[in-house]
Amino acid sequence: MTILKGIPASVGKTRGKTRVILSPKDFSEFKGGDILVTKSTNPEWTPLLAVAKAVVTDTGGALCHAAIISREYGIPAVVGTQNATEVLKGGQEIEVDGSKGMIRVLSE
Amino acid sequence: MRWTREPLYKTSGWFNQEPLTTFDETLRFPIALEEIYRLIRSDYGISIRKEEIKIQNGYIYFRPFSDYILQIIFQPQFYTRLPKLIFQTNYAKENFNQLVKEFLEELDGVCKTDPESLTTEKLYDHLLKVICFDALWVFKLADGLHTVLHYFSESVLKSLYALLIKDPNPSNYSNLLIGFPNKLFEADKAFWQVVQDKLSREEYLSRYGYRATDATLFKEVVGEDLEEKIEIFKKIAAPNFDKLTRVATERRKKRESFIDKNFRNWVPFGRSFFNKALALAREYITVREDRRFYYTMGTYPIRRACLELGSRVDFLNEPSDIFFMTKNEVGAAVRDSKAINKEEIRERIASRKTNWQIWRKKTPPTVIEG
Repeated sequence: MTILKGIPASVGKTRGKTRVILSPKDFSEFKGGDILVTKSTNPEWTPLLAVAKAVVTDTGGALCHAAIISREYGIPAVVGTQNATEVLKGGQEIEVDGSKGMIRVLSE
Repeated sequence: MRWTREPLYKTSGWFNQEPLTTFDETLRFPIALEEIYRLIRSDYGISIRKEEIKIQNGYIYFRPFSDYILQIIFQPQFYTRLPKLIFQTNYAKENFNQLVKEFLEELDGVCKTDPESLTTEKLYDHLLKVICFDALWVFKLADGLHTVLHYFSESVLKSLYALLIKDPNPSNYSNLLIGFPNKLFEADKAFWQVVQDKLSREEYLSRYGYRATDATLFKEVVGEDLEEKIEIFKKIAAPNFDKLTRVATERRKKRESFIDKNFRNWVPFGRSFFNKALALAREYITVREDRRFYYTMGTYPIRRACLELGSRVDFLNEPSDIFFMTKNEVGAAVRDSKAINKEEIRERIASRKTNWQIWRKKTPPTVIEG
């Protein structure tokens, strides 16, 4: 089982399907309830977080943009994983633990 | 010598994810930094060496934080001018709100200047002015006790939570600070209202639309290609923001009652200290969020002036190619474009663009030596 580690940014644990979004051009692939996997989130991206089930980013810390917004939306977030966008693929079932900063891949 | 990108990762996560372009590196950043250093010197009498920031392949690196502290604390002005901050304690928040008001009024004035109506030389002067304007306001919004208090109050709250609350996960303190109004949340809500045709595009753009999406001017601001984004978001089921706010408030209350049940009451004055720290952190939490929102708003008039200038440089393939010109090249193009070897510059621009595309695909190292 693949396990990724990052910085716990917003507490909570959830399971769902990943959607790797690398640029705003990929926004159309996102569906409400997906887990957003991205390099980082900037102000252009945050409306997407309002409908995401969880968020996982490559960069960031506990006070970064994605972390703060995720806490407001009450979705688990793990930031600063370094390579989540490379390791995770779209449509995979994963578990995000925002309290421990862990991501488990449940289906390859 | 060690250089790090950690401050950017930790506190923003998205700023400078795209590398700076030639224009950013040779014109915008040096002017903006010079302006900020000048303000620090005039306000506090403290000098910061220009070489304290390094840009490698378009990515910004800083010296370790301790180096800045060491540099500052050995300057006597630090001790003579700093106490002035203490006298701002009672009106720091009010001061910040006043600054925001002034900033928005001035920004409105700057945005009213139509770059198209200016002659090329005046447009270049306008561009330099708006770069300084942006730097001045980034400094002003950061400078003051409101910044110290929001960092200080949250750090104290975090430490007291770990010390006084029986919670295996001390990072849960952050749930005490959610559910308060802030500009980032407000802007997202407004965007979804636009998607649902409940708010006009003009109103959204004027209030929230012109925020930067990265450090580089090359990147579009939030409100550009708005229609395209609206179409995409229309395909996604809209969130219920009232419910999101309610849930956040409930989570905060749940954490509060958790604290009541799990407080280590044996610590003398613990409850009193904790409550004071919590009240202060809550008072300044909006400063933390809102400051980031306003920081990003000064980029648009700069980008707009650049693109207009780019459209007037006759040898560029597209206006945005101006972002791959150096300060000297832009200056020469504005003064007398006939004296320029246009073919040579076009080749240089193409080569810089290629390098930039290579850099943006690579993840920059967090730490570098040299």
